[in-house]
Amino acid sequence: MSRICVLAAKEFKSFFSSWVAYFFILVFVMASLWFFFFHAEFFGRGRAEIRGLFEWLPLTLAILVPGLTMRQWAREREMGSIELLLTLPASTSELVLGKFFGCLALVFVALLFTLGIPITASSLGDLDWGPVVGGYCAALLLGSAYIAIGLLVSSWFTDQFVALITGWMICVFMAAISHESVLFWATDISKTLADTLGFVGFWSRFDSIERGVLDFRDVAYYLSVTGLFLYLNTCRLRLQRWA
Amino acid sequence: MIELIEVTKRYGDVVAVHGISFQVDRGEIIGLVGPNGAGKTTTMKMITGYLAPTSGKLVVDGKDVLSDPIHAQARIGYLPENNPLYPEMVVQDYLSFMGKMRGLRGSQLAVRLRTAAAACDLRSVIQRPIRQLSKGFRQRVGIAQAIIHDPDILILDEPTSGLDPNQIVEIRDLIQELGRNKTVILSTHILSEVEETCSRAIMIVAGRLAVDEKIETLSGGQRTRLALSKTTDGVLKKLEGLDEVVKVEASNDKREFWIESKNNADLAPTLFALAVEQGWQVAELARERRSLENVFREASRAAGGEKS
Repeated sequence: MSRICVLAAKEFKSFFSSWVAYFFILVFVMASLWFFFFHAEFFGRGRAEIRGLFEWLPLTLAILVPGLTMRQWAREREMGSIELLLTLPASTSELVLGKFFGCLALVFVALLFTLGIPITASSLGDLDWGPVVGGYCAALLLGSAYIAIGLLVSSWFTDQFVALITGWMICVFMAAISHESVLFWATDISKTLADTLGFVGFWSRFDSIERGVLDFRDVAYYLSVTGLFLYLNTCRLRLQRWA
Repeated sequence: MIELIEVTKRYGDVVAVHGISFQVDRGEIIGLVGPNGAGKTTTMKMITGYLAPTSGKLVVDGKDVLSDPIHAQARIGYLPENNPLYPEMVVQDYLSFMGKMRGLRGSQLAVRLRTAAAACDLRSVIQRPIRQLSKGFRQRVGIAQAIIHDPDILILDEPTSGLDPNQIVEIRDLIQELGRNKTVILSTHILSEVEETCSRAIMIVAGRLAVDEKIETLSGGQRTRLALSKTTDGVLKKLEGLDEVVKVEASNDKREFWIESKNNADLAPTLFALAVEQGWQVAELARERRSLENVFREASRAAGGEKS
């Protein structure tokens, strides 16, 4: 447990020793502001609600998170420091969880920076905090799933940019397949297809949590996707010994 | 302390290590030598548990490395090939991170950090980012990281590669110092390093064990070299006539002689007396060690390697 914290703290700090952390937070906050004030026309609607803030989050995170995870294992491999990590008296799951929580901490901090938006909204009118809390929980769950995917991808490559591009493709795909417009189109073809996409994809589940409906099944889905990819990540590292 | 039994490692069709067995006792400093690609690094990676052997058994401190890697890894300090470090980290943060990952905390960590930094002479750069350090200092950071938890065993893969001669001497002294109460396995290309630092040499050629000898035994065959300032007749006969002499070799111009004695006895006083008595003009009289280089060249030729 303590090793997980030590590694997570180290990874979190090292985001700030390059531009990665600042870039991530800046772009995330800017995107949130833009979607909230302009795309969702907060002022035009004249209602204290924060729907727009989370509307495009599945896409924003799908693009930003692989930027955090791309270097995690790929860089360790490239530099050879993976050899030091894997010869520490630590289990592979401790190492994987350390990396995971290091990334999640940065996503958490970036989300904290957007808190100004609901606070502003609540000062202007009577804000229902239910959907806000639900939205932030959903954002963390979604971020976890993306991080787990990105970490696994990173563990397969030595080249960080290959890891980034592959991470983008998988994360955006996972989100996009259940976007409203895709589901609308899929329903025309077959009901089963639409149901399947809605079940597997991240976007539709995010929408329902964001509406303030914290369904146990949605939470469980995100958590199992995260768990599955983190588990595959430990398998990948154990496989390293049999190279 | 460390035991390898018929260890084999295959990468696909390539056999990197082929049925190697040896044993290392507490307090030994082992020099692992051999041509590039001979299997030295693979052998070290298997001892640290980074790679699993295809067949055979590795035991570290009484436990199988494959079934219980954590037991071995807690007792080993490891400097991998090319000394990987995180360039963006400050030396102190890096050492503290590695110490914490090895379970050190609080005052214990502070003491160990100070000891390791002092042993590797890092105090002057402790607050600098690793990326700013010279190669010699980086190497010391790599070694400091390996000793932060005061391990019983040190595995150092080419600790002196890429260093200048002064730095090599410094690192070599440091390893010797550490070797007083630790078991050390180091790999190197420099044979004189093995001669000076190690207590035993293990040579691997094409994945097989070619030489496993104590340094004393290897360089035990000492001989005495006698050089005269001008060609003199009858020297060879006189030398061969001496009681303690086993064998004499002469150079073509009959001015240099290599004399081997019984039980490696020191011939210098006898030879000096003889030269004075005979009125030879002695240019040089010295004891020579049989060079490790020759031993290894012979071994690698015998094992089918190209060069050592």
